[in-house]
Amino acid sequence: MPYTIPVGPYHPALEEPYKLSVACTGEIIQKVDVEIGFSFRSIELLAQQRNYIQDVTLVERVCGICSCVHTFAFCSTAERIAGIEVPARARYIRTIMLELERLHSHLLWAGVGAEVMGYQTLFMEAFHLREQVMDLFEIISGNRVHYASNRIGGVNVDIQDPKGILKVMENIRTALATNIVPAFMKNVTVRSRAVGTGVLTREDALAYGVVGPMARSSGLSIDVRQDAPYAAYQELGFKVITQTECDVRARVVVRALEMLESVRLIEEALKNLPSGPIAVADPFPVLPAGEAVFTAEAPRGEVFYYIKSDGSDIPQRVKIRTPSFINIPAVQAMVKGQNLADLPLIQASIDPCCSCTDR
Amino acid sequence: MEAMKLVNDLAGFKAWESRKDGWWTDASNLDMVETAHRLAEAGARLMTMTGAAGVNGETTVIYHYSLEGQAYHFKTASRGQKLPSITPETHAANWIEREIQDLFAVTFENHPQSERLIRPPQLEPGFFRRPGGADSRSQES
Repeated sequence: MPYTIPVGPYHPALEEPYKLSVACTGEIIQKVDVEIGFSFRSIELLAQQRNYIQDVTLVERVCGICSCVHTFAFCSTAERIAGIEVPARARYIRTIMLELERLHSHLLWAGVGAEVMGYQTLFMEAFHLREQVMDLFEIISGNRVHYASNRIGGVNVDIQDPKGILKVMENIRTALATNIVPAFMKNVTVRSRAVGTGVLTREDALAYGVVGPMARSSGLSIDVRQDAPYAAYQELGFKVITQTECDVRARVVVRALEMLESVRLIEEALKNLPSGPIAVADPFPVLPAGEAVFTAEAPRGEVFYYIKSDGSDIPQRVKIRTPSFINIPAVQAMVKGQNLADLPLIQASIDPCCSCTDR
Repeated sequence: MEAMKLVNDLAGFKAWESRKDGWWTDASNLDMVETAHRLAEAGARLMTMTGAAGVNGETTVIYHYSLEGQAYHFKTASRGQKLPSITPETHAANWIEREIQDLFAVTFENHPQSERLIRPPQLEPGFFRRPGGADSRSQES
């Protein structure tokens, strides 16, 4: 006999609010409806009532994990309207911060994913490594979560000791290459839970418009760092990681390999850090009237910013589309015909962020 | 360039404008449902849609697409606060249109699932229709 069970609004894998109504026959999921908006904050509206300097601080609060990419995308959109060219050193520092953020986010996901799979040792290993990344954020910016590193026209923080950070990166690279990545690639527990689970076909991935590791694990080679390079990605070279299996394991593998690519990018950027200023001379540039779009590759995928300026110091319109907003609905395609017990893992494989979704 | 060719023969099409963030067109008189259909057939991805309070109580809506790494932006406006839904052509538009409905009170006709998405239930639709920019100061005072 078919039945429907409510799951949430507290997520069974992550402590974030959204609600699923899961229709099942026996143990098999037939359909799922998703509800969001439990902590909607109207950040876009608030941004249209504050000046650009205040907005940089505001948009950093869209997410506690990918905060840097939000300030980066906001500042880059404003710089595009104003025609500001950011100094080379600032572009490299932005790249380093963005890739550290990806590392931090993917390690957080690795820990949560491992726990959901029942692999506690890997959870602890991932979170131990994540602490080292967060320590690096503290060394560079003074903060572990909201770094306040970006400003319109450059960055607020300089990297004083690239060699010291390179030493830590070497430790992180070794731990990833010897422990974390092989565990996600080869371990029996991971394979038994993830292979063939929660398939999102290439066609469904395109129809739902998913982005980031979700898209790349369904065979779509889309990555803003490749498609519309920004910061220092063009100079540093960049490899897009894709998988074609379309299941939870493919998502796990994409994120695992992306961590190694992030480490490589950070190391290259640190070794080739240009000298010179970290921001343009004018700390309060005036934006002319105009509009622009900017996209960047956040850890969970493409983040989209649109700003319309009326020439005043307050934006007329700020639009933010986060990757989770576009990725979460795809759970409907991923759970159909799946065992109810796999629902938490399938949801977690999206790496959903309700803070971003309810921005 | 492909997306440009896809819609050039549609009635109401206006010339493309090249900008740093992609190609833009005024889609005021363009059939967006047919446009969405052709773009979906070609494998284009709907990145998102931007709503903004426009003149005479209408809403400016910009459809942002990506095809082969190139961005295309179609700018149009509601008529009587209504627009045809492109969700039947592009599943990705489902939440996007519902959010614009919640925030700017636009009705997307023929939307297959038009209930509230993100709006707090105690608020009326259209609570984002407040002036931004320099005009937001008049609200504060």
